[in-house]
Amino acid sequence: MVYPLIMRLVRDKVLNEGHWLSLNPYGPRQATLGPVRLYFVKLEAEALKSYGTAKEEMWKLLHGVHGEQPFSLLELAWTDEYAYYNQYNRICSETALALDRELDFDLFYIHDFQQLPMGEMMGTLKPKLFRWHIPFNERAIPPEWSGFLGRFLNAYDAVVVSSKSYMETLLRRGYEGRAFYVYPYIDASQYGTPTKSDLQQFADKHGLDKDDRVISIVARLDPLKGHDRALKALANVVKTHEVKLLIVGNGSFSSSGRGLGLSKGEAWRNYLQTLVKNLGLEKYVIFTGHVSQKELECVYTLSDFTVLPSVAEGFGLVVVESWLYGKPVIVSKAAGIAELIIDSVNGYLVEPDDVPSLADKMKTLLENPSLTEEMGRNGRETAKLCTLEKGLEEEKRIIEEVVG
Amino acid sequence: MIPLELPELTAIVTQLAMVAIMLLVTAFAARLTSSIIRRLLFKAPPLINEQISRGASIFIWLVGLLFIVNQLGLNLDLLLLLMGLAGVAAIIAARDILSNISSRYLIGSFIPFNVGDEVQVSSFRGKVVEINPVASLLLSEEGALTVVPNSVLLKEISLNLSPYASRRITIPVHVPQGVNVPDAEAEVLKLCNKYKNKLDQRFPPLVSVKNSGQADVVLELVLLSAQPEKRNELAAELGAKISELMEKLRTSPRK
Repeated sequence: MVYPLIMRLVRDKVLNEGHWLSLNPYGPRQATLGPVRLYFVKLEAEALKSYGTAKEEMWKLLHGVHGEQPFSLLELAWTDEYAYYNQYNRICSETALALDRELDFDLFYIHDFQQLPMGEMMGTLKPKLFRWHIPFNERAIPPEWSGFLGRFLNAYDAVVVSSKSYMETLLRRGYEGRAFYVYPYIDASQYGTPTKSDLQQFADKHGLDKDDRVISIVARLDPLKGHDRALKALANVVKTHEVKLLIVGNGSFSSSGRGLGLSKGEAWRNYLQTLVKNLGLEKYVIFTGHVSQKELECVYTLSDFTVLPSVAEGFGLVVVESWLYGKPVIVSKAAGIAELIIDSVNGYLVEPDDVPSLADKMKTLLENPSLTEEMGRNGRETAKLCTLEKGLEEEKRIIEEVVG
Repeated sequence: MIPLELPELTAIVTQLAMVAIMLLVTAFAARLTSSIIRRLLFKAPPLINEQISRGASIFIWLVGLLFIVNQLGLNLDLLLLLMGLAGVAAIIAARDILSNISSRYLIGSFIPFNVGDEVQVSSFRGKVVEINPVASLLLSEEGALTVVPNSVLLKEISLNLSPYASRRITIPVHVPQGVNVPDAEAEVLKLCNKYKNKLDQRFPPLVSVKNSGQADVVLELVLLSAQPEKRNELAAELGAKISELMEKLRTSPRK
């Protein structure tokens, strides 16, 4: 999302160049990508591990995910791991300020909760914009955290979130500045139509027959994505319908063994495979792992519809991808994109834990191909709200407003 | 007209040359001092920066003048007397300013209020928007700015209406030259975690960079004591521990 934004702003002559600072323990110190200069922040092994732990914990808390022991963001801030999260942000802030002394930036655009303290730490009066990519849900973020979050958020001149409902919560949770929402966006031109031979090749690779009805979940392998709910619903659906469920995706880099050393994706895959076995779904479920862009196009083309059963979801751009292929979606109400779903028009909404309802909606779509097709067509229209063109125009407008 | 002998003429020319050199050196020293002060105080308001650098420049010129008068072999006593009297007059005239400046250093420690607090002094109430060396500025809800000389805060009874003022602990942390600031900050936060039970856990420690000069960097650590009556005790103990920690970091080899 950041790279297309910089490229667009450079193309429109709003920016001369972009300087992008991010964590990369293994890359070079600097790299150049067209008009973008990349600066990679390094952390020592111990600091990296602790930062990763704090970041993961914070991510869970902000998504409303709690373990057996109730834990709060305020408690996290009193841990040694948080001291390293703070350290990472201080390094980024000092680096950004040093670059500013040299290059005289016009705007600092800080992305996501990992970097939240940067605005407060930098202390500069230059315009500072913050983009909060994950959910900002009232259910996940209690009023008691307002003071803690507010002291960081209020250091920015403006904050951008991914949906209107998140913006409303943001303003109720201690943020007093300018707030905006911009739906995340995708470049529709990157999604082509696969050839017959591509489709055949994909079907052969994953053992799909020509007449198979297909449901897919395109999501990172992560407990928050709620694959388990879809499997439990599928166990009910296959009693009456012949259908295959494609589980598309792997764990994220940062939660892999190579990234921050946390193998969350692998653990979740093992859990799901056991669940498939326990539910007797072996012949109905296909784990594709990571797929290429071409294979992803095949997934959407071959699917009847898609499901996003997330427990928590910042937005859910895969829903937009599905709509681009004219495929309707069943979406959890916990996803940011839920506010774009008009129930029974471009998809269905379900409560994240309501497995019977999810199964019912799956059956409805399987039994009514014309309805499925119509909802897919409607979805294609809704997808226009999340195009690269629209998103970048919005971002550009906000940036110009903040910079003045 | 008495013709001058060559040695006398040489002495006068030498003396004039010396005076010229001293004038040049004084001018250079005054300019250099002024420039250094401007750079050191780059974060101070421009007007204050300008006044301090101008004051320093005048002082250098006065010292230079004394040397020149001495070089010319004139009697210094009268000049010194005049300068002394001017100095005393300046101190008398500036006694209020000096009183305000000394009071400034008690605000935040013995007079517990900071920028951002809601305070009341006499009949004036407002949010503290600035504490400068001479006065504290209160902004009322109506937008009126009240200037309270710092010395008044020592003489008058003031109310701090901010709910946490009685428990706030502010500790300056001097990070020695050569110690990595993010590392030092992480260690300070870890140290604070050990005092978690004595602190208000709803307000995790907040560290900000107050001054990052050429030598050491000054951080400011803000915490809230769980009990107001333990505030000073806790501040003293944590302050001492942090000083020890900084010394340890200074002497330990960088990883």
